[in-house]
Amino acid sequence: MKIMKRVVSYITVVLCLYGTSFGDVLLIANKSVKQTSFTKGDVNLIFLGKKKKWDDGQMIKTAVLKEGATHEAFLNEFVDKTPAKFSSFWKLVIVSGTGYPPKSLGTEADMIDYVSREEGAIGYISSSTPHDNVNVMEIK
Amino acid sequence: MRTKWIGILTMVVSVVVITNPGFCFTQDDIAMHGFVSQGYMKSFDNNYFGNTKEGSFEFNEIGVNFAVPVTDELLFGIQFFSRDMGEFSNNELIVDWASLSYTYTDWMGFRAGKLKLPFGLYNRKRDADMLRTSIILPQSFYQEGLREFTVAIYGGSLYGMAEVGPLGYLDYEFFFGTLPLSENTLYIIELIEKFKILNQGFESLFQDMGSFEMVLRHFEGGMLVWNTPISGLRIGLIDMIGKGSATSTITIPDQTGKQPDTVIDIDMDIKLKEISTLSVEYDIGRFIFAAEHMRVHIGIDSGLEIPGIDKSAIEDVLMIGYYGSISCDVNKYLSLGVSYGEFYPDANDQDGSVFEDKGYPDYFAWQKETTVSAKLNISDSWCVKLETHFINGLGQVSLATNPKDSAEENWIMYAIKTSLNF
Repeated sequence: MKIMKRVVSYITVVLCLYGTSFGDVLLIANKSVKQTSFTKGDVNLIFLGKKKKWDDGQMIKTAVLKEGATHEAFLNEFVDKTPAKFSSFWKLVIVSGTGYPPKSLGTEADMIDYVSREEGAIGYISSSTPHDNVNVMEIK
Repeated sequence: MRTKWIGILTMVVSVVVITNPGFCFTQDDIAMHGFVSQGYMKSFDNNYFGNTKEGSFEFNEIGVNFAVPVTDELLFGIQFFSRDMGEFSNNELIVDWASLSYTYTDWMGFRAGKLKLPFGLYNRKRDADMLRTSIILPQSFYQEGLREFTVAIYGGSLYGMAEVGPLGYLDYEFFFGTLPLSENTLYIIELIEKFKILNQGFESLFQDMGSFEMVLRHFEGGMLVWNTPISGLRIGLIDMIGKGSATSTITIPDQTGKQPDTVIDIDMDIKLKEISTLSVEYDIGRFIFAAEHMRVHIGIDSGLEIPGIDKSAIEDVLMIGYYGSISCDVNKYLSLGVSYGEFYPDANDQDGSVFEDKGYPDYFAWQKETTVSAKLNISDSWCVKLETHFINGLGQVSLATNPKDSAEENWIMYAIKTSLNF
């Protein structure tokens, strides 16, 4: 019985940690973006370069982090790809001449700086990162 | 024609830049990437590409591409590329693709220039070795001998994406243009070899043959990929047709020895009656499952009227091929893959009876290939791959480099390759 309780506790802790990492990712957009919410499916299409324009016709400019826990959590939650597969997907787009890759940034501070500067830009950060001058997008 | 297209593209980009005074791009806007790979192939009993029985380092690719957003909606890109694969390409430097893409909406964009063609799910990345586990894409589908018919066209395309509610979304592209082929394209060379087999005694017709010039002036087709609501599952359809011509000369030797040989101009009409593919891919977690089927139907009206010759093998050719594959990212450093494919160069002679009638082994009529691959990711940009091909038959290798007297039905090919990308 004690073993069962330990197992259940362990699983609960693991699941909580797993869930927390998903919830930690915030989608941020430039203040010029009028849309304030969208679905996970929209996010997937945007970051795979399928959806290229906002509803008002403004071009979407995507930005991604080069690596790290926030990057992995974002891809896992919204794009359904591992970092390696996401990277391969964009390399294919590049070598086939069918698109322009997302801006690749080293730090979350760079991400906030880029998204706040570029009209139509969208990116992501962890929720603990201060984020002035950008809109936080709601996921329906 | 190639120079003309690139010239037009450069001119359009220049006009757009000059007429948009507010426009300027910085070095940050120019996306530059590239890749370099070098491999080694060694086959036993038969030749796979070129002279692989002796072992061959003629197996490399190098490419550099640039993409720059000229305006928000207009993207210019170009890729320079060179490759060597046995008897193919020999490191000639080419513009692999160069295009201007204009995005009007998500569901409609326009692209013009030299465009990479979609053929199956992986044709557009066939030269980017680092993007797959296997070294050589399944040859039952991505045939090197047919590469020129499926790699790129000079022309335009309409493309887009449409969401279809709970059914996922569709990617589509409709393309049109001209497909120039290199002199003495391998397809023609192999057709002639097949012709010689079927018409033994007429081999001398081709002794002094002039070079073949071939162009498909009208080439069009479409691609539809359904990205299903099941994440990672997509189904693709492609259909292409075309028509054009080929010219050359053949010499009919004088049998009496008293008259000069007769030189005949050949002016052939070529109809690409069908290039169609059906593809399914399921990309889930560490695994990618894929299966693809293709049909290529080419008709040639040679105009040759020489009594006693059998033209059937060159005038109407239907090829079919298919494969299934599984690849798995075992961990960050290791990916493994396995595939099985079959190819029939003449779908109407899958049992090889036509070859047998001419004194050839029946296994020249098919090629069945099992491939096992391992990819070691030394870093994000450097990998080393190993691969073994277990092969039955000689249906997709060159008849010219595999004479029947030394051919073996069951054979093996090993390959090793390293790739860098940046």
